[in-house]
Amino acid sequence: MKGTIVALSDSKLLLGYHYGEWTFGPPAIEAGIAACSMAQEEFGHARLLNGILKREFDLEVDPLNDTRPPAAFASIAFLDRPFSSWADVVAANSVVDYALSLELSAFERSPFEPLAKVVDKMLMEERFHFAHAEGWVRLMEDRGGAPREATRASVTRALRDAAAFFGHPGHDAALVEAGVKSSPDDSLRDRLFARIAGLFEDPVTIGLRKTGAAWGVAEPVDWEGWDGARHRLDPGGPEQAILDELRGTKNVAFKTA
Amino acid sequence: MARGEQVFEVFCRIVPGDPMSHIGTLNAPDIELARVYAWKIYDEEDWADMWVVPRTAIVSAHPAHLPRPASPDGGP
Repeated sequence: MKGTIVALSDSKLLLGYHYGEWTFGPPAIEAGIAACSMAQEEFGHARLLNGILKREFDLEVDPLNDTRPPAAFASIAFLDRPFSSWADVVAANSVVDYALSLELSAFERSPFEPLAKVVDKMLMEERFHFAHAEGWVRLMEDRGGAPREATRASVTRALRDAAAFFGHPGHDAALVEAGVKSSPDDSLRDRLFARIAGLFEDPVTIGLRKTGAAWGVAEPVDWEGWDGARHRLDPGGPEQAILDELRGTKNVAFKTA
Repeated sequence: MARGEQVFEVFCRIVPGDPMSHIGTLNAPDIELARVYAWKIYDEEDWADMWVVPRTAIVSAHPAHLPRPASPDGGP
């Protein structure tokens, strides 16, 4: 339970960072304002989750007090590095953001009340995030050419990293059996693939393959080495420079508390 | 405005039942993104309602904008 909340919080913090970075330089002013607004919401969600971790688990991950090295972060690997283009923003918005919302939705009626009572507010705000993502995927698919290919490539990478976030099948069976969460991560991953596949004319172009009725990543995931505490396969972590910015490392002298 | 974009007019009200007020405009490539942008850009109030309307859907009812029945020079 604690590990899942840390993974959600770390990923939302990093996702908020990237959205914030893309306040400037998007293809439309309105998209920059939307990115800035989504950044605020992701930071807000991370703070809510950090409060739960502190109160319920005595764990401090608030960025201004956090000293964990990058390799201790539980964020989705797609968020490790600066985004190279708007295609990465669209991929994070459609895949990573939606993966986090799916995970949160499994706790909507959880008996673990500290989380259950904030999920509804977060998911209300997330409606706009996915609407924004859908709009941009649709635009890029219609546009064709290099923007479409870049978006498909970014979404392909994001899907693999999001698949890793949900972990190997059955890893959360105890939480589901205890009724703490309503859906296992394996089923949430299937829902992610199905929803993202529905945005593309040919989901094969984003590295998905249909087996029976379900979509999955075409290249099988090797779960050997999956780190359950970090919800990751990739042993790395966010770039130190990104963590320094989030933590205000250069401005420690100006801290007020 | 980028290629393929159009102008949308945004109307809001704070109190349910009050008249809708025009609060601004935005550019978007389609109505779905216009909805997102409207809510994100004009977020200064706790709106009870927000409408987004393509400017091209708005028709002026002012007589000055109605077709003339006949021109003085006899033309159309």
